[in-house]
Amino acid sequence: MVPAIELDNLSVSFNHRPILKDLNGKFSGRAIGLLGPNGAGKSTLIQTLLGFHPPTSGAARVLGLDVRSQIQEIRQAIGYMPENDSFVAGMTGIRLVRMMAELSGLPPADALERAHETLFQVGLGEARYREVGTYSLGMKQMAKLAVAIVHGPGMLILDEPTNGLDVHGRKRMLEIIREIRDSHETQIILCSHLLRDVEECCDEVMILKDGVLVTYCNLEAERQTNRKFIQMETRGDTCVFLSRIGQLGCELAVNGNRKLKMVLPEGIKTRDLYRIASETGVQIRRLDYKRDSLQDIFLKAMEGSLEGSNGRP
Amino acid sequence: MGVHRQAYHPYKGPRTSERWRFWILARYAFERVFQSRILVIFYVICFIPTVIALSAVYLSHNVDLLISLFPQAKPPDAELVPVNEAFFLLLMSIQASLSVFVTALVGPGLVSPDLSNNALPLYFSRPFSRAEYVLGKLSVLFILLSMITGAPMLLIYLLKSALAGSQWFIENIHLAFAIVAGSLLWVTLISLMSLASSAWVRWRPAAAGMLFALFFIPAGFGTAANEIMRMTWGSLLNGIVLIGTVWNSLFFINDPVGYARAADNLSDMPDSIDFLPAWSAWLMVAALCALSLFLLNRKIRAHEVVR
Repeated sequence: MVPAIELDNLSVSFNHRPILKDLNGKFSGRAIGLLGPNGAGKSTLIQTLLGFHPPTSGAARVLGLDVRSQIQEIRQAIGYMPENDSFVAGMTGIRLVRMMAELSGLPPADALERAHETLFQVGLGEARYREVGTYSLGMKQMAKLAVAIVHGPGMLILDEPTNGLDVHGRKRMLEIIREIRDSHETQIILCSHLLRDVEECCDEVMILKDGVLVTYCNLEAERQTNRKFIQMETRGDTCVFLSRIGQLGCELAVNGNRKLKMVLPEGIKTRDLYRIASETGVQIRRLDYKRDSLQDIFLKAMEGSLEGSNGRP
Repeated sequence: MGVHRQAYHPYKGPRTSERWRFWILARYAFERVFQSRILVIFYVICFIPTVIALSAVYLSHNVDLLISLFPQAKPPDAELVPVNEAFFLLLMSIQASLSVFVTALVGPGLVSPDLSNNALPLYFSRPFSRAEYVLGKLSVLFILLSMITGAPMLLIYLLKSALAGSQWFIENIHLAFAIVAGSLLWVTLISLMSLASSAWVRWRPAAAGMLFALFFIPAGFGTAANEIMRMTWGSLLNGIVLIGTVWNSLFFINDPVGYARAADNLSDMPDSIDFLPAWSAWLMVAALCALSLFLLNRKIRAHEVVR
């Protein structure tokens, strides 16, 4: 499978001010989340991949195509949903989407058919003959998505797709993104501030901070790694209990009197914990499998604790 | 229509050639332009001088028809409507004036709405370049304005040739060249200026006003400079004098005042009009086109970089 994005010492500067600094890596996920605080360089990276800004040094490839020399081919292969309101004034939804499909190279008849299909798909079927300027914020987001996918791109770049959406709109948007991901025909780059959106849609995540790639990880692998991370709440005297658990080879961390965190070694089951608790007169009031959430990964990345680790390519 | 297919599926069909993709933009823009009733009415009005001129040329070659229509009229001794340089210059001036209003109605709606609604990333994230965008928008104005400037005058030239014979056609071929070159130059200049003002002034009415301001305010400064400094170079800021000088050079009129006086229809031309050397007018027109392109290049970008 051709990597969705390849970065080779990519640097981008504006007016001698470095925005992206020596980014490296091959990113092959079906859906890659792009995270980072404001000013981290996420939008600049997207715009560089779209050919809006030339790299100052280094190289970047999208679907194996070089952003310097093959930008037309790249633009043929991608769909882009910008963050801000973007529409052509005075145009109905159907005309806007059809025109954009034609600009992507579809013949007029195919463009019209795809425009109808796509608008129904994003839930704007009934509103397709209304001017886009009269749409609500959520409808405009959906119209932007329709414009981005109407030509069936090989890669979809979504910049804050759930901005301004209500609960139903957000759910529908994420469903569509997952549906596109699961079609196995289109790779997705999802840039969002909402970690939950990224967590729900993406299988890989890259985190930028101050123009530097601080983390790239496979979310599913992270979940697997932390499968046996257990959080427990107890009542009673835990001294003997802790000592017995320690003898089993568990890594333990005590948080206050009653809260415990532990990683179970191979072969030890939770039923062993209940047995020891029973024998030592300790009540287990709560027991959860805990794993590093995306939020934990993000916060660790921001603190710099994960730099150079976690499967960084 | 496959609207029942509500699941995402990629497009595997044929793709159109990239060469003519700019025309898609023009096609959609034309559809929008002609939704304006005011523009349609005004655009029809723009053809009235041409219809009058065509009728006059036709009647001047069909005196019998003229006498049958107006029995009391005497047969003219000379040609009723002399179709020469002065005729075409006059018609070109009238049509050019009308074309300014058409440009003011159409031009501001071409670029400024795209900029104010942030539509450019949608265009430029596709296999569609900035040059194609400008070409697409320019071709809308270019075609609309050519249809009311160069095209009708060429039609008159061809009608006159058909009525007067091939000898007239050959002897006056320079007129056809002047008509084509003059109107192309005018249409290109005004279209580029209109697009540039539309790109820099995002409010449509202001962009329309800007076009008129670009013609009249520098002209006022130019005239004042001419009066104060007793020179003629200030006329370089006067768009009307500028394009008039270029047209004169295309029609090989080296002494415009003398020529105008020789032609009866322009005998009231005042002495005070400041004529420029033709080369300076050509240079200024080229500079204005280049400046407009430069301004468009600055503004027509997918994203503005905040420095």
